[in-house]
Amino acid sequence: MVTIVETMSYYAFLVTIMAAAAYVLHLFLKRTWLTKAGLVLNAAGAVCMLIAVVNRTMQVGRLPLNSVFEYLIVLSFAILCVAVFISLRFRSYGPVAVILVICAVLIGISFGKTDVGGPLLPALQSNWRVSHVMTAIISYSAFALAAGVAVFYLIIMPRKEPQGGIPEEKKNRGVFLERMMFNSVVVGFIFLTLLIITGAIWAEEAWGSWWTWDPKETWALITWIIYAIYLHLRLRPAWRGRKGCYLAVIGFVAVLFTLLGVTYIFGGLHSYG
Amino acid sequence: MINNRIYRFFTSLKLTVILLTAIAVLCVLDTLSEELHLIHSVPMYLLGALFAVNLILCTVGRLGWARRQSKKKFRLHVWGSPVLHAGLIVVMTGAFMSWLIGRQTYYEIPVGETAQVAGRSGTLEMRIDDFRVEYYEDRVTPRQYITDLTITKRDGSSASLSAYVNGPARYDGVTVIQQNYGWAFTATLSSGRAQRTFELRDEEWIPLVEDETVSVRLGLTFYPDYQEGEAITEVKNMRDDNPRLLWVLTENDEPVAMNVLEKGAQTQVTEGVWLTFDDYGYYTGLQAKYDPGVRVIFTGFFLVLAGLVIRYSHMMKQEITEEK
Repeated sequence: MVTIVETMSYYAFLVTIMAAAAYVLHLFLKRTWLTKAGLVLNAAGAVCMLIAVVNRTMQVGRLPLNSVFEYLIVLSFAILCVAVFISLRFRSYGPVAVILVICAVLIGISFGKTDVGGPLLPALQSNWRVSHVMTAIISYSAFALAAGVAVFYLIIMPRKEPQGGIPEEKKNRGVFLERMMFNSVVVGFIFLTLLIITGAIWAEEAWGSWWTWDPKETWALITWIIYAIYLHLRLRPAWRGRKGCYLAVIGFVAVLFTLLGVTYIFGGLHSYG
Repeated sequence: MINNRIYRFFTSLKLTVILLTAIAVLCVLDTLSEELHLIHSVPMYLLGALFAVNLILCTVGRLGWARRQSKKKFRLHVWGSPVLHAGLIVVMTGAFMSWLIGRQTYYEIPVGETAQVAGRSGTLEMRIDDFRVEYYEDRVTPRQYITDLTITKRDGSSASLSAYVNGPARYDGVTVIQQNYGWAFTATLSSGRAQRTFELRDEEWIPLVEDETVSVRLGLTFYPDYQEGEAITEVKNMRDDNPRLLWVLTENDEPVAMNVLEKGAQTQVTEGVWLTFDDYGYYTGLQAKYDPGVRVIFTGFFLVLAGLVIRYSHMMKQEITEEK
């Protein structure tokens, strides 16, 4: 039987794809109604995911932060909210189109990971669980935004400066995007650090070891290092452009691998479904 | 001059980036390969040592810079980076302390028995008073594993505590963590007047005859909820609803006889050799840890976080101001 969560996720997937398409069309056609349509569809996707999250909460009687499926639906909801915020606050529709595509992929992956959601295992019965997973959601949403901005920057900014230079307007747009990416990385990095710290404290309580080099921990550290390298290199002006964008994209690939790749390839202490 | 060049090399951004990249690459290779164990390898230790030198020198330099910047008027934001980097040094110091003086031992102790553990005041005696599993309404899914224990110091003072998953027991610097559990059982083998009692766990093998030509062994497995007629290797339930001891006699690894025994029952397993299933009960798997380094590590974490927030909240504000 198809559940409300699955139905709502399916609707969210469809409207998210349509929102992304509306924003992409706006980039070419420059029609204002397309941005309005994109925003409405994006918001509709967020509402669908909210219903899915609330329904799942009622179904399992706790916050849905246990399995990969639950994590994906909450993360997708968070990313859709970030997309609405960026559209309203900055009217920057290109990066939003990219993060909507990322979000649609995550919702799509969640289709194959549905579970019935059982009671909490003893290892998950901790006050640190909610703070640990919530910091992950904030951090990964911020990194998704950074990656979306980075991809858009790489698409619109020329590889080499053309003869006669880059037009002033485009240059300003590039600077704006680069700063947005930097700020997103900073937010993501602070919460990633908090994620690792809450995880370490929880692991000390539950397993008696704050760090065990479990694959998930190791990949969280790899992700932290990639973004730490970005933040160090950005001190040099040469890295405030395409090179920085490449690093933001590599960082987000590491995020996705930590979230999904590690869980399904390596298993380990973090394998809860 | 040379000293200056060495100092500049060790405090350079280039070295930091190269070291961080190399550490990340080794971590990636370690997780992707089953043969390479690079995290606990000499190259990783060397990189770690170099990184520590780089980090300490940079932090000292940044602390000096922050002090100069705050000479006339205190400016909080300039302390963000030094505090963040100092926090990382504190974390590394704590990890080194754990390695040097931390003690961590895993015990499997049947209910009613004791073990010696290391505490702040010396060796302590830990007695297991009880172990129980709590279940959800379905009576199958475990809700919690709880060990009641008493820890006694050398001076006779003691404390009765409970350790459960995510709720360790703490006393005299020792943290006791609930990690595992299983079934312990006792069985007696008798042959004529000779008699020997074995204290065993879950599944174990007892050699009866071992010489160059023949190997006769007795395998004993405890099933808390034995299911008649079904696959005997499958554990249906960890509750002792139908406890049985399964015995298998093998000759040169080929099974020659097998059966199940109820508690208190006796059977002949081979000519002249009798097996009695005496008793069973839980054993609990606990980890006892005495590690003063952990508090240092968590202090370091706090500094890292505080430094990050101080540094980047100011930087972000600056970026937004410039944007406007």
